[in-house]
Amino acid sequence: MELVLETNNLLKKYKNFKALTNLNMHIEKGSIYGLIGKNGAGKTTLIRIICGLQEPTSGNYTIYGIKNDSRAISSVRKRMGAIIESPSIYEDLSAKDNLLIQAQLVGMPSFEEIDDLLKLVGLENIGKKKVKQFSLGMKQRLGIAMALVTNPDFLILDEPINGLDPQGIIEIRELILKLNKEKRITILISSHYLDELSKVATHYGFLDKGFIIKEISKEELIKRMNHKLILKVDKLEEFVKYFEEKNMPYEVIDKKTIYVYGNYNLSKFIKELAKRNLEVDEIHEQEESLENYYMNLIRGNAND
Amino acid sequence: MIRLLNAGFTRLRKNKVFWTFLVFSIGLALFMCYTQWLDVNKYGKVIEVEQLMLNYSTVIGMASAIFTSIFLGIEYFDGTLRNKISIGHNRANIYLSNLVIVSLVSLMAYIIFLVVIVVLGIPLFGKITMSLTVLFKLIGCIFITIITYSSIFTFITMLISNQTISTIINIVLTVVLMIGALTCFSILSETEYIQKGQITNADTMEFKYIEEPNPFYPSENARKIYQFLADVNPAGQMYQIAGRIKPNLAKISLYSLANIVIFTGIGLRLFKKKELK
Repeated sequence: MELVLETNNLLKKYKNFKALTNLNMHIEKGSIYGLIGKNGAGKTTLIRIICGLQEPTSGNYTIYGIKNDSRAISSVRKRMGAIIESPSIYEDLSAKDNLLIQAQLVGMPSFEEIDDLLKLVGLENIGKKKVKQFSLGMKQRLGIAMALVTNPDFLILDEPINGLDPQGIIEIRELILKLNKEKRITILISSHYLDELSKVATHYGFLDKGFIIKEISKEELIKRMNHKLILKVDKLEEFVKYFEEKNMPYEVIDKKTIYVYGNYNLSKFIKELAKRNLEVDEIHEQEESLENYYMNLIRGNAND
Repeated sequence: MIRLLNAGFTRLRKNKVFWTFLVFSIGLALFMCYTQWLDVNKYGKVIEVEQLMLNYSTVIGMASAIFTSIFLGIEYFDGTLRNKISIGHNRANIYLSNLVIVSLVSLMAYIIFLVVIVVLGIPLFGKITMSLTVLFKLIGCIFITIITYSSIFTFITMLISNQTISTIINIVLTVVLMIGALTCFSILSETEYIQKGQITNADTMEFKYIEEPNPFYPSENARKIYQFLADVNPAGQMYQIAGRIKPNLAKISLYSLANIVIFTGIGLRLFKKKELK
């Protein structure tokens, strides 16, 4: 498994406020990593650090295996494209001029690809209109085109659908999927729109109070989200022993609660437990949404 | 660095503030030639073309402050500065390329002004009377001081993320430098003695002049300090060059270079550590 980005115990302090706390994160090559967190959870701070705009107070990170304090980090950043908060574009220039400047900044030998990029993001018919006359969605798409000028392997999008109308959201979503599938670009998207993220992400990182409380792949998340049995029991240890023996995915929530993940026939499941003299006080099935999963994680983190 | 400069020059070509700066310089040259020509015709004044060539130096600081604040401040306002960093450009190179661009633009504005004055001024007012070597030395000194101004404005604009605040600071600073320089010259021009009229006969109203020590005449040490302040201040340098009040060009150039090195050195250090949003 090749990692594009790895962070190790990242800490970022602003005076006495800890924006990031021992943050550990792993982004696999080819994935679309959804970074989920409330406003103020530390998403943008993390992205600013990865993009070199700020330095971590302690800890480190590697991009394509290159450590952040290495001189080579600047060269590695040339393989990255990023939109941080809002697209970095000159408002008094046209889309084409912005792309031309970006192409010069990255030292592209020719500017033939500019028209293709405009086409890719659906801005080919925009003419010489200045960016300040663009809608938010158009600016966002131009921002992505700017990030793509570098021909990146790794694209960072911070809140890419913030303020967009439904049509704009769909366009950005389709573009992200297209870039990942056709150009095999690894993408990190931060957002608090969970529904939207669940439509594109292949991996998730749940961020709360500057700390990654869980990293999980989409498959694993689906397994956990779709079907879950919530058991209230007395003899927790015996249940744990049983689930271990049967190799069933489970999670101990507290002294009396245990979650069992997967699809089970409820009556057969209870019968099996009864055969082993495992008595259940309460049992119910739950289908979880990403939102529920996230909220449960946050609650768990708050209780810790 | 070359890539940053290329991109900067492309942006410059499309930038309204840049063209306004150049048009202002041309306009000012035309205006000066016209008003001087009127004076020649009305009052028979003798105009030295070389003086016209030097005059812009006293106001170019303000024009350069406005241009630098707007041109570089946009990098923060539009977020394009973070784009340069996130695609792998070194902070020192970003700072230096910006300094090079704004310095070249201010120099270009001054050169265009000179060209207009020479092209129109010589046919209207006659040839340059001053020794060309001296004139080139004065203009060379102006060029160095223009770069000093650019390094100060780049320092402020690159370290203050808010474009409005950096613009206000640059403009206010320019005014303060100008007032500071004029104050220094005013103090330095005080005479050691002042003449006072004293009535010797009240009936006939006879009076005589007596000389008294001037209380505002600065001491030797104070004179040195005021002269130093005038020499080290870019506005003071420009006034001395434009006023041709026997400026010590070598000393002024040395102070200018020191200003450039100090402001750019500190600016680079602070910009490297600056936390960007």
